[in-house]
Amino acid sequence: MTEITLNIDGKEVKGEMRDTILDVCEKNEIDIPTLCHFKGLSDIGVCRMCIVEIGEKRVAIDSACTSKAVDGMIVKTDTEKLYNLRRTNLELILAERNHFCMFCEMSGDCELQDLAYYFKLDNIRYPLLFSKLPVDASHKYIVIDHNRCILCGRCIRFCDEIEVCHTLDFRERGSQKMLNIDLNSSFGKSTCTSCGGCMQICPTGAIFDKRSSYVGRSDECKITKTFCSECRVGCGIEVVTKSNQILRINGDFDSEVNRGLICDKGRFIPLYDRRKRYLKPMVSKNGKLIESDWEEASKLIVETLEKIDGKDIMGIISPRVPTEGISTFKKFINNLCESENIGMLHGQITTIEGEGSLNKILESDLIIVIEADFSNNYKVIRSLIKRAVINGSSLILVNSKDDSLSPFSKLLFSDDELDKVDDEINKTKKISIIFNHKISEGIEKWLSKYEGKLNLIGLIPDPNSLGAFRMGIKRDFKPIKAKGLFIIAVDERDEMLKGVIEIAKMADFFVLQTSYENVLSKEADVIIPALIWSERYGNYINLEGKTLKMNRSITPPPEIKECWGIMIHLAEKMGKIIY
Amino acid sequence: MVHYILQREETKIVLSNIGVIDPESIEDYIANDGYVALGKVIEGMEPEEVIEIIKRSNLLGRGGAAFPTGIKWEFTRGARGEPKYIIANADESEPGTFKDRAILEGDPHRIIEAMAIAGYAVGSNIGYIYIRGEYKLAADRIKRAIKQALELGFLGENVFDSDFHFDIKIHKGAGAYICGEETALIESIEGKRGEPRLKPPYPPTHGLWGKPTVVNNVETLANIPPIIRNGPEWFKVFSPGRCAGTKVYIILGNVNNRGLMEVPIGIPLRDVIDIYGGGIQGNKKFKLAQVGGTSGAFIPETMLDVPMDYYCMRDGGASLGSGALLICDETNCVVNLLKSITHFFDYESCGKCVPCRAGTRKMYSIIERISSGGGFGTDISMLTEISKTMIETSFCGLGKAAPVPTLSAIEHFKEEIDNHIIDKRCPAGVCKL
Repeated sequence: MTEITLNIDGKEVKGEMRDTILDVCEKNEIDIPTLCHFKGLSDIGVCRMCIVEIGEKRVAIDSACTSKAVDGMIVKTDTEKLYNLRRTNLELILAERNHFCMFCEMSGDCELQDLAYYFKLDNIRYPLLFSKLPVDASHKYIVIDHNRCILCGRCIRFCDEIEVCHTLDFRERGSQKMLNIDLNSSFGKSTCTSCGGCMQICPTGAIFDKRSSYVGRSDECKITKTFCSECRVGCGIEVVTKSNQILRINGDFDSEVNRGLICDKGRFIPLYDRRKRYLKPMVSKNGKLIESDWEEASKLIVETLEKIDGKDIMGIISPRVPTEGISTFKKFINNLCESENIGMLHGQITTIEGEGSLNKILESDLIIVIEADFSNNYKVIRSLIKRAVINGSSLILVNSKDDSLSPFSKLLFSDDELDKVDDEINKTKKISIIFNHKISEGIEKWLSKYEGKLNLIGLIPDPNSLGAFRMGIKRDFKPIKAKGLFIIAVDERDEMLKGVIEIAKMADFFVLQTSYENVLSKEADVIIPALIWSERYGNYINLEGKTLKMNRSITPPPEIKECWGIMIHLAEKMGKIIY
Repeated sequence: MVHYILQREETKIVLSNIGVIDPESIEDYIANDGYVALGKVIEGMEPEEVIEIIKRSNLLGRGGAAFPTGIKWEFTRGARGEPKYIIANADESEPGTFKDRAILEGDPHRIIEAMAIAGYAVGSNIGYIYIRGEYKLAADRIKRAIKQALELGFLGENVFDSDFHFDIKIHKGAGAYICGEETALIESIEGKRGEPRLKPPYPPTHGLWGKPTVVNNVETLANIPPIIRNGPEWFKVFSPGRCAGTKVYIILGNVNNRGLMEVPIGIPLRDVIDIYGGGIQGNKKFKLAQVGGTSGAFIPETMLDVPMDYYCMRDGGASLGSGALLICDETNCVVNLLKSITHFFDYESCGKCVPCRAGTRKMYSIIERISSGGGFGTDISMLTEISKTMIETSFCGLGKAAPVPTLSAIEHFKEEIDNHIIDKRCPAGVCKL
């Protein structure tokens, strides 16, 4: 990248060939007010806040975000004329619709309000219009109040360029211009995928979160950077908490993995969890689960397991647990219980090492998607695929299960046409293959010849089964009629537990470590409370093989310990040491 | 009723066929030197020669921006990208302007010939005519003309039996003034919202579908075949000053002769009104002229002697624009005029950028209030402030031009506006205060 030099406000500063003037300012920490600009989205230059004076003899006024930086340019960012022009434009925005801060959910967290303070706009001289535009609260999680919208288009550009869903756009023109959903539909009955990106990126209170309204301003909150543990991508997130309560989850735009994009599984669904949580150990007495304490529960577990022979003990671990927990559990089962019977609760079945690179999807000339259904999982990867296609990649779908990708695809094949897929692969250089976790043996055999050669990404629905898999813990374990069964099932939902109900029923003594009451609870003899996702911390290995360090954002209730803490404690009770 | 004025044949270039030939007959067109220029170009000239002729003729764009046509074609020829496009801007949404309609309805083959010549010069094989949705007869006539031209080999594969091929497609507008702006027009053809694009890059380097594109006004194109036939020096003879050729004016308002008038460039406004317009109706007094369209400045009596050419008008703070000339006598009220004008821009603003979207609405609401007796003492300074902000910071030409009438009214007719605000009185007796 060629370096260029500009003269900004009398100082020589450096930039790069393709930079805009705003890019150069950002790199050199020169502050310019902005509203419609957001790093990572295209710039459209509609708010006219970032206007600068360009040139010396003939001075042109133009927006910095859309003006290309040229070597030798003379720019002024902070003159009295610019101040007045920016201020008038801001005043015009504030007079256009209803920007009344006193009862707005986002007061204190609003970029428009910040600018109004900066320009000392404590009164608006232009006649206010008192617009009566609609408020659309039909969406499950998000509200759109059109009276606060400044028509900056950030939400539309996010929906279009990052999520690639294009639910949002504008309709009408001039002062009738409005944010529009699909073909003038209500938000709740639209093609929206609930990624929540529009809500996070909106600079005002026009699009906001139902659940966290009025509960806290960002500057009163603690923000924890961590990774989402709902699936194997491991999107970077920021958990916003106040008084040990989660207000909301934001996508982390600094994260290399997802660059700010997350999905409803990571942003909304975990916060709407209403399941009954175990806060203390439970012990089954006379067929009923009674609240107990650590002493009683751990004594019961240790005394019972010590009497059972290793070959009759079975351990099943959830792949939602960090690597430290999985490895400690493995040591507990193998070394302390002297059992070889250990398995993964759900997750990886295929032996294909689908450890590809997400960034390579965007660089691929050809993307092949096998049997994936993105309607509930891995929506972030679906967005990456769509982005790649818009940039010129070709897409082939094999046994397509998802209508949303068909309009983007070049060819559709069934699984007995794999030779035709081979032909396409041989014609192209950079290829990514994205495959569903439940593929047939035939497809698995076909895929295996590309292992290590192409960018393979397996959509196995769990965060850390790669970590478990690498330790030799497999999903297709051989079930036994256990005399002692230990299942760690943290915050899994019932459908993930169906596979082990029979084993649980058959077991003589069943210890269940779990966060919520679930379909296995009534079979358990002892229940140990487990941490939930926001309280867990440790290392996870994502689908790219990267180690992600999960940070806890909530301090758990006092009686609940980490997974490995429980194992160490039980080991001590046995008079042994795990490590 | 609007009627055409009989003029000396020698002064008509653009309108020379209108009313003379049958626009639905290609034979009539051919009999009047039709397609001679295209033949001359294809059979005996290199593309660069064609561009050189247009450059030497000093033809400036007749849509309002007055960019040298030859230079625009030269940029497009030199730009990288295939295929290249020629677009005829027939959106003509400027109120009071119907010259392009007259050309398309009265002499459609002229535009086809011009576009084919442009295609040859620039290296393009596809042309689009973006025609205003309301112009049904014009669209029908041009479609028929395209069909006729294809049949006789003036369009399509092997034009004049050469290996040059050229095709023309029609795209209809849907009622948006902003789509007369060249990049908004291009966005509209691409199926997107008609909102202007960032400039630079300009259409000659990055136009339709990102490819090099020439966007020319219909009147500009109408000048091409005559210039090719008669040479660039002939074109310069028509006008005394630095600009060459003629301009079609649409003379409207309180004059005796209303209608289309093709006038040599450079003649002063006073003469255009007196000679071509036949003077003010009923011997009333001249009050103001709005030149160039709805965003034209109000020209008071003191400026009537300014020569009507692009450079002199620009120096005087005005513009020839599309050629619409609205002549108003003393029975008109400046505030009432401004009310229509600001309402128009409020309605037609595309809404993309803040200053124009919010500014046009504010300006209309202030003027409307003034015209109904609700004016405040701060109104004029507020209008001035909004106007200056729109001119300095708007994204496109519409926002930059919309405040011009208001500012010129404040400059030349402040007393009349003050009468409305302070005395709650309309001197012309028009506004109901």
